Amino acid sequence: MKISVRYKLFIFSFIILVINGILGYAVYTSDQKLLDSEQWVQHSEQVIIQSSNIRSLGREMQITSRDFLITDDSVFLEPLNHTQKAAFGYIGLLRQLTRDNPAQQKLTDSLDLYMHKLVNYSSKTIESRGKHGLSSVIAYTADKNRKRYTNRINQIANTIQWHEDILFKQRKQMNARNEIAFGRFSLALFMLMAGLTILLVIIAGKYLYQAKEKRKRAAELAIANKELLFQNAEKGKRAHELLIANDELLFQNEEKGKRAEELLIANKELLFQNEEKGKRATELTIANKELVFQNKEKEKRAAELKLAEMERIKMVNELLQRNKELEQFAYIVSHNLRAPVANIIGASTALNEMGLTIEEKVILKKGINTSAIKIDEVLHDLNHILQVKGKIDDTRELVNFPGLVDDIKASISELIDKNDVEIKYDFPDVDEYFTVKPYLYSIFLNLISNSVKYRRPGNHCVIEIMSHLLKDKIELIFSDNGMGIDLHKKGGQVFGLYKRFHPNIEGKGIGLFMVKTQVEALGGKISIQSEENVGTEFKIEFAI
Amino acid sequence: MSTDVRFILVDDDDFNNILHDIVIKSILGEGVDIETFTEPEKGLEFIQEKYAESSDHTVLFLDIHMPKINGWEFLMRYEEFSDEVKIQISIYVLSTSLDHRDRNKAADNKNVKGFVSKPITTETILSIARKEFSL
Repeated sequence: MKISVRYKLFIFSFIILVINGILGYAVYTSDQKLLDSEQWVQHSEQVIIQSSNIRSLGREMQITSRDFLITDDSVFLEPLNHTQKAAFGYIGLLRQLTRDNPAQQKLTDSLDLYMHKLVNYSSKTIESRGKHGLSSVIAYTADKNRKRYTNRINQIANTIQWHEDILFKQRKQMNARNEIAFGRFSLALFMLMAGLTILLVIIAGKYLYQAKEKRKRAAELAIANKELLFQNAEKGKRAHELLIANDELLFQNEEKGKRAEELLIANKELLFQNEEKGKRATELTIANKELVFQNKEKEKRAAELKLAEMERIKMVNELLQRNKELEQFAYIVSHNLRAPVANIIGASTALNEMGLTIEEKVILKKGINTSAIKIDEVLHDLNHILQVKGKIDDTRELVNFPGLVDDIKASISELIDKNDVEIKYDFPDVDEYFTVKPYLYSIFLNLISNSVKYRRPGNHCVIEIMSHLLKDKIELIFSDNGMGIDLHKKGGQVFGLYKRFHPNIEGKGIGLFMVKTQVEALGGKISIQSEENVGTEFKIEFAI
Repeated sequence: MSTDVRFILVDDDDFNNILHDIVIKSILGEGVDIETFTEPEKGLEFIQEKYAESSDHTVLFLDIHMPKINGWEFLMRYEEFSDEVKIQISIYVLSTSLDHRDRNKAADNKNVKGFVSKPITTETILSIARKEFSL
């Protein structure tokens, strides 16, 4: 069974209230008890004091009565009466005080009895003083009863005092015990109350917090509830709308059914079209590939055309150069033919027309002959050159470079030995070439002869021949350590026909011209590098 | 004929020099002074030495086609000579060349008096001699 916090709190508070009531009563009774015991202590104190007072009054009464007896002065009677009254007042008080104690009550009665006896005796004595004078006083003093009464009062008062003293001690002890017990009890009670109160406060706080939370929740719930109500209303509307929409949907579904049928037909159509498209795509892919291929071909063609254009420009330049060379060739040939012809005309004219001496005639005739021979030589050269320049009919063969050089060395061994010439060759990359052997032989021979012819006097002549294999061509290098030539001045004329740069050295000026002509006839190129007094290097390039 | 008539022939063709020497002497007489050079440098050296201090009017026939130093190069070096030297010498280019460019080039050079084709004729020699030496 679940009990709510509030109910628990209520029960708990009730229990605390009940306990409080019980405890309050207990404290009250305990307090009353303590008060009682304190009263009892005071009581005993009073008894002790009264009994002491009575004792002293008894003595005072004796004294005052004696004083009166002696003096017979009525002044003393007043205090005596007063003392007697006070004594009985005290005894009455004592009786009242000891009314719950029968033993003490009995003793008080005895005290009262003896006090009355003493007073009576005293009254008798006073009366007798008036009658008998001083002699009664003597009788009085000698009276044993009076003394007995007084002693008895003292005795009884002492006894009462003694009893009460015992009682006082007992009661005081009890009172002290009660006081301690009350203190302990009060402390325990206080602690218990404090604990319970704290517990109550905690529970109450918890309950209050929970109550607050609940209120908050309740407020939220109220809002939520409103929201729900609103939503419900909305739902109601929606439900209505949905009903309408549902009708609509039913109608649409029917429509859709019709459309689905139509779509099925359309789908079939689409499938067919897709197939067609697939076919087209394949065709397009093929066409695309074709286009890419054609583009590549076009690019290739463009590159080829560019190359061809470059080739054409190169060829035009080469043709212009060749034309210039041919002009030069014609010019040179005409000069070299005209010079001996002019000599012959001049000499023959002189022979015919002038009166010359025999010696002069001999000289001129000899000159005519020499000139005629020179003309023949030029025509011979011309024939030779034109032969080379013309179409090459000679069969090509694989020519071995080392073999070629060795053959040439053998053929000009006399020249080599005579001039202390050293010919070195090294063909590491390529040592043969498919070409017209007589031309290559002529080229090698002319270049070697040239180097020997223009060696530096007094210098050991060294000729080096090397070959290099490049990407698309063979390179042949002929280098020597000869006289060299200043190419700045004569560069353009080195390979010219009948060009000679060293008049002291025999030569026709046809060797290098022939080399160039033959290299070009084989489709190659020749170039020169030279420095005066250092050496010359010819480089021949043949396409592979 | 006096020895005042002087000729210098510069031509690499030795026979040409001999032929011209014979022809000039047979036309103008043995007394004509003729110096011949097959090497142009030697001719230039001779002119520089001989004509520095004398004043002898001279006709110089210069060939164009020569190895090492040709006629045009000869003229370039000659140009650097002093006016005292140059005033004494009349240069005639003597060539087999039929090329009009050579002819024009000769005409443009202020040190060249004329262009003479080989072979040299008697008429030409006489005409030059009359003109140069007042014969």
